Amino acid sequence: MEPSVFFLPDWPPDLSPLLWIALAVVGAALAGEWIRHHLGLPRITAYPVVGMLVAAIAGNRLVAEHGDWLRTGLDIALAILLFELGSRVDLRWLRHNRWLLVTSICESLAAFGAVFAVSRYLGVAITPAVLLGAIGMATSPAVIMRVVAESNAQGQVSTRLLILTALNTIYAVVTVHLAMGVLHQRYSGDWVLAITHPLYLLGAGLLVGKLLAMAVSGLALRDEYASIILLGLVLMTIGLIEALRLPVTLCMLFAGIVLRNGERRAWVFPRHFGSVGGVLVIMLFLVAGMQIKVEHLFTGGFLALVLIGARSLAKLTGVLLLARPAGVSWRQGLLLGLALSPAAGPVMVAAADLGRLYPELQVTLIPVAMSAAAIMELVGPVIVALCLKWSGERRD
Amino acid sequence: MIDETENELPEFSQSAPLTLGVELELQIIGSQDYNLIGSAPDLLREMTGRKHPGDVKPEITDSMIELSTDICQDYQDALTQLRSIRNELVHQADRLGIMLSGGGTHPFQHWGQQAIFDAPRFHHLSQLYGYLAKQFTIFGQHVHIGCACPDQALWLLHAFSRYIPHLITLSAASPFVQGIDTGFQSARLNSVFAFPLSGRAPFALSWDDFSTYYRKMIATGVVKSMKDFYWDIRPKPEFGTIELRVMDTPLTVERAAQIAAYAQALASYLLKEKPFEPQEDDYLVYTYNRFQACRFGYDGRLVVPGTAEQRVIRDDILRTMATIEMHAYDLGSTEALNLLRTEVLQGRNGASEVRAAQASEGSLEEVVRQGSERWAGRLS
Repeated sequence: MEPSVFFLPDWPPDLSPLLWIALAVVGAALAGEWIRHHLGLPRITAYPVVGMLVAAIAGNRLVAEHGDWLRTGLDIALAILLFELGSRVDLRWLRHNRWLLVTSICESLAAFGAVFAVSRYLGVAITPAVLLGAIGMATSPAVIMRVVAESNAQGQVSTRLLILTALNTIYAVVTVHLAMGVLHQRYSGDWVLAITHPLYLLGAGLLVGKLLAMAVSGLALRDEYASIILLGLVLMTIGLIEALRLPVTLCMLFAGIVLRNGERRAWVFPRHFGSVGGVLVIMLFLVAGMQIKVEHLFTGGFLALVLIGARSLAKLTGVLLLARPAGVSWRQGLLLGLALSPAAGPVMVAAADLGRLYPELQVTLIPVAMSAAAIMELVGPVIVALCLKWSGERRD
Repeated sequence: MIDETENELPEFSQSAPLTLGVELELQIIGSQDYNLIGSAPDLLREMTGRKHPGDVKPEITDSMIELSTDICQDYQDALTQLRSIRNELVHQADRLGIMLSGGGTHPFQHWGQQAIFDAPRFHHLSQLYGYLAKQFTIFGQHVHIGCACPDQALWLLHAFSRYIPHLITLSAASPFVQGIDTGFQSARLNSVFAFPLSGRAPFALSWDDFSTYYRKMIATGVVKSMKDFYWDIRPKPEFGTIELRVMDTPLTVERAAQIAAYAQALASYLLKEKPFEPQEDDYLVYTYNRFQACRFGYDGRLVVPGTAEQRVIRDDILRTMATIEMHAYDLGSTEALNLLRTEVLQGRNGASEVRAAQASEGSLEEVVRQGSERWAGRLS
């Protein structure tokens, strides 16, 4: 029907998906405040739930239609977050306490083994199982960073949680890239390629990291207005990273680590930098929630719990075994081990990629991996928050 | 320990005259933000079973820890013990990814963020004093000096009062409080003065008189034991010592040992030469002198008790050092005295070093980092 007056909108008006996303952001932020105030839970617990609800109401096309700019936003959020996480890694500590490094390797290997074994049991071929195991090593940096920041926690459990998360994320990214290389048969028997690939990742990643670190420390970003410069620098770095075909995760972690350890001078990550990323983090968790498909929870829920259980147990064992030599009490070891369990968001992305490559996995693996990620997305922050509370390091 | 009132003073123990004991309260600092961190329980847990002389104990907030030596014969003994405990503490702190530091205050901590160490006595103090207890997150050096008998202890205590400005100036290391340069050399003592039972001990030269005073105070219900007196110098009957409590924790254990040696030589001079008899009237200028030392350090002016003579604190210290030189020699602390004298001549103490670091670095975080390196003996 032709509108009677040309400047009036159609009836019913054509609501763009952007409106829905904006509504979801506001809803998520409000729900986050509510859940924190009334239930004492971390704000980010609410974000994926709201995302799930919005996706259920508005349908799948939300993310698909705005994939591009959403992805950029999420990349920035993640990049700033990882930059800060990297800047929390004190390499001197690892030198003084070798057992902490051993703990990190132990818990990562154990998690890898557990996820690999369960995937094999589910009938996944060796290479994708390696890939899954590699992803399973990583603790979700976003969840850890946000919950630690929100509970204002300080102490052995929270500091170790940050450093172990940074380290296992680095292991995971490198292993994933290697496994992908094998998977796509890029190396095809060429050992030089197989060896130079990780060297390129680490070397070039370190170089990009160094560049960003130099820019940040050189520009002396002091107040809130400098946040826009940081934002610009991070965007430039992301561009550079993409041009060099490097993983964002790795480069940003390296940048943080270089910034912190590059010189002896004291360096504290400015609080307002974190708040730039903090707002974007809502989007990160919201979009993760939107990708949760309820039907997956029904088909793969049980096996997902097995997968999560095995992985969490492996991480816990790895930490607990070395708790005393590494200098934490049994109780702290227990809480640290449990707090490492939140899985990384990339699980979903990787699982989706694998599903496209191997359609036969659509039935077996994908629902399990997807629902495992979904469960951890929802439960992870609560576990971390409780562990920090019980460790007595929360100071809100 | 809390509700039990010690109605009688404990028996004054015998101790060899002029033996030393040193206690240092330390800052525990997080390596993420260089602020105080409540890691005393972690550090104490990791220290249990480690071999070192002396003792390591909790303090009122859990971002503080106190180390103490065993009884030391002389300067070298104290220095060796202090270094040995320091090394073990630093080693454990390194394992925990935390740092330790000397200095009378943390330059930018906010007392509101401190947590009371979980022990009945500390909770009691926190209840009684409210925010004062948390504001008591300050770090001092205590030096015990052995006395043959209680009357000697009281005599020495009051004779020492006129040298309190020296000890304050030599140890002063707390110019910054809550991020602000206070203009003081020892701002820490201003926090101590807020306590109702701080200040000087009552003028009693015999143990009987002192016991009478103590019983009267107990009867008022104001105090429950000697621990409730926060005097600048207080007798410690259990150890058979007097305890000098005005010093800031210096930035290094070496400086702490030198200051202990200075106090020991001074005690030897006072006890053996009896250059004057302590008077109640000595205290007329006491708080003025003490303030001058806290505020201006070496450049402060003190009034010599019993006269109206004004002296610059620097000159008074140098003059005293010359007087007690032979006593220091006999006690084996000539080296300590010489090192201290150099500092006095150059007008240097912890406060001036902290200020110099802030002037050249422009960042209190970096000042704290350098402070912890200096404490660990990794920075010359």
